[in-house]
Amino acid sequence: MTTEIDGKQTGVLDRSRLALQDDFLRAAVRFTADRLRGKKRIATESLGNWETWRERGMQIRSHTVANLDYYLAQFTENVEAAGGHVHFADDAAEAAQTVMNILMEKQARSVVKSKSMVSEEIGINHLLEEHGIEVVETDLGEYIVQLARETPSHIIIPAIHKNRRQIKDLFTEAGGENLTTDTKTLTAFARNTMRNKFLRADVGITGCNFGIAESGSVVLFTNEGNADMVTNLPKTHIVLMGMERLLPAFADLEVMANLLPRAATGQSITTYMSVITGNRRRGDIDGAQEMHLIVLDNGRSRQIGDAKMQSVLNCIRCGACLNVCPVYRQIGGHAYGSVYPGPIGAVLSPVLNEGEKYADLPYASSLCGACSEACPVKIPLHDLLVHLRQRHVEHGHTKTMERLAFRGFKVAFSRPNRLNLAIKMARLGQKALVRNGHIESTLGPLKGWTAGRDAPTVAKQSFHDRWRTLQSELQTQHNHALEPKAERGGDVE
Amino acid sequence: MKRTEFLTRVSARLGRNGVPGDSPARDVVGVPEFWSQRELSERERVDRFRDNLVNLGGEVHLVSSVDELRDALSEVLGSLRIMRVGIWNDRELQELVNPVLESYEVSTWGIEPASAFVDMDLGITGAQFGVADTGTLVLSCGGGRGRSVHLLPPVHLAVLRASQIKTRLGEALQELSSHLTEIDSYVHFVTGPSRSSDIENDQSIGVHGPAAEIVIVVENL
Repeated sequence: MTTEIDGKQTGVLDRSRLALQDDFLRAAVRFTADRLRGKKRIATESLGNWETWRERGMQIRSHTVANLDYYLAQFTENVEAAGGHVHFADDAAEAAQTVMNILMEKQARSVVKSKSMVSEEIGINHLLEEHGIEVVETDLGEYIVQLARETPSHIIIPAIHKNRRQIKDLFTEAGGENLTTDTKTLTAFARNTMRNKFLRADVGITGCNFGIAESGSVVLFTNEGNADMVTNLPKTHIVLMGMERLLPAFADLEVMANLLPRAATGQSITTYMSVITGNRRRGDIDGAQEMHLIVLDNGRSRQIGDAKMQSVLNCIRCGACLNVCPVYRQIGGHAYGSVYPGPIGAVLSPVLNEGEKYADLPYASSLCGACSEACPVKIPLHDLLVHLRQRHVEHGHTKTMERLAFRGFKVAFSRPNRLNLAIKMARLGQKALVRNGHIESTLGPLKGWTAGRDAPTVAKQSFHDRWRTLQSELQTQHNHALEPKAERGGDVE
Repeated sequence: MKRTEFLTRVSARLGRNGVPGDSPARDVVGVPEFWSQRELSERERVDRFRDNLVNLGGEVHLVSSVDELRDALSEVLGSLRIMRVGIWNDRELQELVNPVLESYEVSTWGIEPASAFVDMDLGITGAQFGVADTGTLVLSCGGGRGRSVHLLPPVHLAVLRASQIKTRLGEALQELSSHLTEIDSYVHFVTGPSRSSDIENDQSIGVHGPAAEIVIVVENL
């Protein structure tokens, strides 16, 4: 994670300041977000009844989470019935260890992966490399990010912060010869390099977009086709799944297949939707011989039964909230310092990881509500952000100045005479700070506010004081309006 | 962590002792009625399938006899300068296309070793269904219907009867749902050629999967 800069712990504000100086990043993030948002708008308008679809999505996801014990039991039993092996992991470390155990047992030397946010969550790549196992990200964007030794900056398009020249350099370093910056050339290099990796790899690791409880099927939505290679070519397939990623039945998958690609990339469906049920059957010549499913909790079950937070488990990881967020647009994904960026990341990261590390993320929002409106399963993201801020305050994590300021606010605003006194004092006190009719101070308690904008001055006369005069003026006008008008005619119609 | 412990914790968070025995009651299942009640004629389904697939860079040939099918296939193979062809081990499909393939180097799934399929120029498959709404092919893979046949080559060609084209995705999913015990371990829903926009949002085709997706739809068969 990038929570450390030069070995120092940083907050989202520090990281944002750095990100704001990167003009390429900001332009790239804006361009990508606008493009995805525009495509989503066209795709949802052409489908029609988008609100009805969202409502369906929300109802299905809410029902699943509200009965997660039943559906998890049903799903995992069906995975086993189809020949798969099921493992349960309480936290990231246990999930990573489970992966390691399988790899050790298989004496695996090389692993191919397709994009999985859960695999980022459990930091598996790092662990595998420590054990000398080659691990290759095969999604084009993830491969670029891996070669650069970075983390994804967007849930759907991981390498938006890299330009084609940087990509060419990374590919050249990885063994590419005579490469140009042309998309076709770069893609061809990735295809050829990966093809050999797929055919040689001992184990393939994928995530899981949805698990279908009634059949025990794992469903993946992809565009490149790499996940299908990862799933089918190595002898062993490991699926990493967040415990909430379920749907009761195939009928519900039709709703998600309409919502997810449209919300994510504005496609009516992704190029590939792969439905994997257990390992290969008797008589099959290809496909994984062994399939392992690892179900991860890692803080998710804590949200169940929490009336406010349970809905965060409805998330289908489409990234639509990132694309509309005015904060994400400016700072990009890395500034969040967590696996999940954007509004959903600002909610998920602090609730999945208790403690101080991500506690400042809910403040990286203007609370405009665009995220809630964009969410295809209607998660009230901005409400959850406010709730997390509230929790943060209740746990006493506020600065002394802020606490004093709000205590003063309470004292002043609870009695009219106190308020009047406070205003009079402020009017006198501000004199030293006023320039050209507003306050530009960059010192003292106002610094945080005035660093980026000017504060208004306290008016010469308060509205309360002006009201006496205003009231009598209004009364005069009102009486005047009621006087009969001499020229009013009655023959308009 | 043990399964029981894991599930019991979820149940406890939901305020109950253990996993319920009965499936939960549901008010809402699947898509809204306005979506599932649409009805299209076969003509409309075929046209919509073709339009959607062509929009995504796929290629669709509509033919109305076995002879026309063979002509279309022959033309595709010739124009792409194909030499090596992989094909499902599926009698019905093979009977339709074999006369055209006589002059090509053909590998049949399950007859030739799987490793041969790494180097095919084109893979020929049937399909269980087509989906008109999205231009999707549904490939249920197992036995003679090998996955590598359509995944590995740069070109995938599928032969589909017009009557197999459903209006919406849900109809194909319904088939899976009503034969849960016989479901193949890999059912692939394929819509157009492999694509990516990961390099500066610039779309590229044929990243890992096939760069060309060709469907011959046979009417009146």
